[in-house]
Amino acid sequence: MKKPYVLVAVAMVLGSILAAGEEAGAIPAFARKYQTSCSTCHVMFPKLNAFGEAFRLNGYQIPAPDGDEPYMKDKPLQLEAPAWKDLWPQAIWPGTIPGMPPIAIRFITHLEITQDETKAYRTNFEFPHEIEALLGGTFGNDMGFFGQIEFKHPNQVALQQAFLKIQDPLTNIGLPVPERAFNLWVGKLDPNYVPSYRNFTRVFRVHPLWGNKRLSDLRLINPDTGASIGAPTTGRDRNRFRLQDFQPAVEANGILFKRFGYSLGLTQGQEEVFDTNNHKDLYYTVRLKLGGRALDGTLPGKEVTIEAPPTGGWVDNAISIEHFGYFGQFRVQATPSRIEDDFSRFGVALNGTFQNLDLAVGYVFGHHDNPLAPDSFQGVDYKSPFVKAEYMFLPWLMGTVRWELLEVSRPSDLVAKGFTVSSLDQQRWLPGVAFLIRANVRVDIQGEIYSVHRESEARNRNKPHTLWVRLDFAF
Amino acid sequence: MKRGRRFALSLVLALGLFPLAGGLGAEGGGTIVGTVTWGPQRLYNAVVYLEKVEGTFPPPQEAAVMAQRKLTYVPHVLPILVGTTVNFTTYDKELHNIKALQEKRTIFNFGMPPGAEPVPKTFRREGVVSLLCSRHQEMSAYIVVLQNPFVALTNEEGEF
Repeated sequence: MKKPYVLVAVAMVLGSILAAGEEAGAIPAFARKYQTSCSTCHVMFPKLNAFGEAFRLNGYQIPAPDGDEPYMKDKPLQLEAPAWKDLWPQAIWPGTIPGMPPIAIRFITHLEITQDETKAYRTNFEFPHEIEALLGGTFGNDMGFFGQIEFKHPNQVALQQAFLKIQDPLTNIGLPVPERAFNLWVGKLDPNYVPSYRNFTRVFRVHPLWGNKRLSDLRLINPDTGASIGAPTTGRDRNRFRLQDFQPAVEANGILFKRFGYSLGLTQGQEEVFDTNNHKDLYYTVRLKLGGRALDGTLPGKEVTIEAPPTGGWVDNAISIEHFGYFGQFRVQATPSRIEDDFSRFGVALNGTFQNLDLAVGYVFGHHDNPLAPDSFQGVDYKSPFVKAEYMFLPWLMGTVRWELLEVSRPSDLVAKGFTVSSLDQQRWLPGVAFLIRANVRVDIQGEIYSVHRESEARNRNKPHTLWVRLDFAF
Repeated sequence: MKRGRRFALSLVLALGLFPLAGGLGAEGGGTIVGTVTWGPQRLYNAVVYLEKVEGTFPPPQEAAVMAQRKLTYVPHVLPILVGTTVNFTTYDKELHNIKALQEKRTIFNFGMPPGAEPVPKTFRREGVVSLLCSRHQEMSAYIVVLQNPFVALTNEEGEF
């Protein structure tokens, strides 16, 4: 008699996986879905650890060989039976919606103490600074969504993010594309140009200079006369583009050979709903991660597991090399003749994480062809090097320091007229400490100390140093 | 990675021949027991069976039953021996149909109005048959057509 084989029939699952235990739900939407701690995905929220980054890249699904489903504790509502997939395109592709509303709330509160330009101290209670509604989940395998709505005082409501991640669309319809190699993300999203120095999952209170400062903020100052150029006037505008903004975009991205990530996107060019011209901006990013958890979530020789080590899940000994390019156009004058400012940004960063230390160094630079037209038709250069270091002293205690510099060149024709000071030129240090009172409650004490602040200097005034105490919690 | 469903099977194996506990039954042999896990979970309603057992195994005389009740198929998973007849029946007051797929092809599709007489169907090809209802697209069930009767379904603890 031949040796029989014991098999498990796997295709017909089963809708009846064992229910989770009765422990209280964790926090926010993803934590509730998987009944897991924030520290599964975050180092010091919202900063992601390597597992959280793999989860994000995987369309908000656990990147495990078993797939996402066995890890879910919130049973999703099946919209169509899975077998309908076999009849596509004669049937709707089956999907799910979250079983419980995929909503989380975040409160951010600031105490801000500023020594302003007159050397007077100003203390401000921003209680709260903002409240955010965060939405996130999946519509079955290979489709994730995320949304962020901000409520700010007084009466400001802003839709910050709202996008859909369609993972592996070509693979799913049978084309010979490797899994994870091609995804399509559509909506208002974070292009995430420099992952190691990211904008919206940063620990620091303030955005990086290279992300925050735009050419419309530029004023050129004549220190002798006090005259300046740069304020918008009728019929003209200034280039309001900045890298930190979420943008309406269509982005193709993917992971190749586990450790190489790419994205290629087409964006509105500005945050506003209606563009100022018919040009769509283009960007690309590439990243290579050596060592540690790969971008697809795998660890060499290990299974991917979902876990929240009480001693911290931040250790991921790795080096990442990142690069992006952005090519845009902004209309700076509509009448009497149209004038466009063609511009670019490039960035390169090196990020090393070793044990408790996360170190990144990088450089963002770019060029504007025509930002000050019609006052000048010469271009300007934009450059911003940066360094950051974050150190986990304890699972709940992080020390941070950041240094960054921004310089924007001055058109020679305006320099010849005495406009020698660029208001955007800044150099600052951002020391701080962040600690978790609970996994979902964070306190930050951070400083913003300027060693260069040209606009203030041009007026012979003090640099506006600031100290923040921030309370941040989500549930 | 996302599509491949992998199951871990831990077995306590008593030597000799089978049948499996809770299976369709056979004479002689020993017993295999174990647990099926799927990621961190213990898997309910998984089908554990032996493959390529020598011999001929005549199908049972009595038909198995697959019912539509309260907009679900009952049972959700039905393992049968090849050649077994299944009577499809409905207890609902709504119009259903029964659409059966095997290897991505529709092998039959018929309406099940309220009060319809049971419809017998005989399954002569091994494999997994998916059952759907076009009017209620969330409804699903699986008939696993096997070469031999050595089969078990896991309980809520993933045990068989």
